[in-house]
Amino acid sequence: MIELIFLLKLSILVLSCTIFFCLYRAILGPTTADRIIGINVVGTKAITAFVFLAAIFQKGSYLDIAILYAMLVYVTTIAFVKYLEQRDLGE
Amino acid sequence: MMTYLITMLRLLAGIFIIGGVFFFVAATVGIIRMPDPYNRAHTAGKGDSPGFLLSLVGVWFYWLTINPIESLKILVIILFMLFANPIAVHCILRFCYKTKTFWIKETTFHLIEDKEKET
Repeated sequence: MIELIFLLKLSILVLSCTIFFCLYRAILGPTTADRIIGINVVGTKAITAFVFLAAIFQKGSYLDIAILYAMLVYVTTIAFVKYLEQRDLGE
Repeated sequence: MMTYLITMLRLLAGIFIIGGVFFFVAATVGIIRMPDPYNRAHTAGKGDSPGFLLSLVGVWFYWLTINPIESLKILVIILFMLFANPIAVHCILRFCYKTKTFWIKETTFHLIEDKEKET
């Protein structure tokens, strides 16, 4: 029981370090596509960290935030790529 | 019997979460070290999907022992991300391909114009 909580906390720490390294790619990426990839990966890791937090505090309402954030990251990536590709969101 | 089941589920949860975090770390190493956007998008798509799948299934096993009804929300997240993440990476790669972002010499693929010339 206690060991699993400790494992979840350690996983959140490791995920935070990897988010930091992905932000390096998102800020200094040579091309636009690198930046979009970095933002997408940071979003996926943030969703996983949210679910870990919900398991640590044992609150189901945190999972709603994770669902919302998953949809937000997906729409952000698709909108960025579509706008940069066509210079138009196509209504 | 019930305590045995709970112990087994939590053991499985620990193993799955460790595997998922390993895949996330591997994806990050690929994103930092790979030389051009095509390879980076490849590692991002390949490494992230098993990463979130394994870690969210692990948390789902743990959540089953606390509150089985709330755990359905995790299944919703898994189903949505399972479709959304590969589609997003595919759209990024199509954007790279159509705008002809630079690629290194070792990355080889057929451009659409070359295929049209051949046929």
